Amino acid sequence: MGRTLTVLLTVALLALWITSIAHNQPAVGSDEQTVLHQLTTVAGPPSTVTPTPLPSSPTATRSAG
Amino acid sequence: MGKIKIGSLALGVFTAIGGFVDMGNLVTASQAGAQYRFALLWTVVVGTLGVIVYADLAGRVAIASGRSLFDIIRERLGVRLALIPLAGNLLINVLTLVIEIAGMALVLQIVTGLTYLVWYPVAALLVVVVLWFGSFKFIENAAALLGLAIVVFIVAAFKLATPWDQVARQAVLPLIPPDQGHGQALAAYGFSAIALLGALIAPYEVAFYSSGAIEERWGGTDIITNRVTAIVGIGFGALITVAMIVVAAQTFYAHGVQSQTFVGIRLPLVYTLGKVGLGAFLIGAFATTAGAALETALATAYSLCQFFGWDWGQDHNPQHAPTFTLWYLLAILAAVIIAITGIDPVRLTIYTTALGAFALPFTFAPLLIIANDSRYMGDQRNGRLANIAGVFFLVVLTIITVITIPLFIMSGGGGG
Repeated sequence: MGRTLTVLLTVALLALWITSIAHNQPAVGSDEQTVLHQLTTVAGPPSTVTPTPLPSSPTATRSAG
Repeated sequence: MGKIKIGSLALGVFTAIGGFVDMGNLVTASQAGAQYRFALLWTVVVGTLGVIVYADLAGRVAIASGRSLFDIIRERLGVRLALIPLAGNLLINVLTLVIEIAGMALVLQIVTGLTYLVWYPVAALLVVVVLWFGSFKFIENAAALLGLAIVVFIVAAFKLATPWDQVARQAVLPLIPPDQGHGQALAAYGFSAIALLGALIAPYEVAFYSSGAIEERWGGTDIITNRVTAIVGIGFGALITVAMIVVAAQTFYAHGVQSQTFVGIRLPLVYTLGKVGLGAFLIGAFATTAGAALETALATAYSLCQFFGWDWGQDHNPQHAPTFTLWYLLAILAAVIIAITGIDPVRLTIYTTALGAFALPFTFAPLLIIANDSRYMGDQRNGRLANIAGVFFLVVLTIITVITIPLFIMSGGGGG
């Protein structure tokens, strides 16, 4: 009984893990590349950074992780 | 002070610097800078002073009484009342463990391109292996010393033409940005401040620090070591947190860009320092989150075993302290089960640190009561200054406890 329950729980956890992996693939760095591109091309070299006010709706990137 | 003492003092300071930074700091500080520029720097000052006061206090209680934190809390408050801080600590510790192991796995995601969920059980297994075979000294020192690579944020902050006069001003003046001064925006600002504060004063840090003093058999002559470690080590650790906020402010905020992901935190370093910045981030972030995962797993087992009077101690062989070993293994298993549901680790980090800030008075109030009890403290009983500081931060934290849930609701789930 106990052994069956352990096997069932293990299988359920494995299924949950595989499902989560399938639904959480990294976006092949596209969001990050966009952000880095914005920083390097719009902002110029780091030492010339001068703060400007945040726009009301900033470019937001979001994905798990 | 002899040569060995100076050595152990230096080591204590270095480990406190590396050990202070964790997943909570990385996420909340980066988001604070990206969203509010320097407007949440005052939180770092308040949080750092608070954690110094209570870390010193926890160390002093351990040195003076020679007894562990939850052992005394249970005796002083009685079993029923003491169950409240114990339950709060256990819940927050397990959630913290989830996010710290996620931090390790996310670094592996950056390196390999495979989702962090693939790496999560591997990172958890690494934590188990180190806990099983490693001594307390190894766990305390190795991860924290490698974690010093995270000082790369300070280097980047200096390279970004930071207006340090504005940084200094906003570190001491809690100025709310005009466009965040009302309604939901103000609630989101307040909730972000609480999350950052919770990241700075994580409950596991105090439990680990106190238990560590007993593991290392600190005695009366270590009172100074305790105080210097708390002030200098945590102080430098806070400077790294300030640098994280500054770097995010000078890049993400300055150009109206937000990246609300963990892997995005590295981008300002890549932009500022190139491959060196990336390498230092990967080493530092992996080591600090691994160190925090180890400390949190141990803090969970420490708290339970100290409360119920079971044998505890990382330097015991697992066969000699089986209950202690079982509890940290169960905590890690619980973290794995929660994580593999695919819960967003960044959102969970913000909620966990805010929940940590919410629950702090339930641990700190008993600590303050014990520090004033001469039966436990003898001549190391709290003085007037320590009591003023302790009560001040307890009042601040109690206010936070009262407003956390309303702010969470008003900000629409923490904002962001």
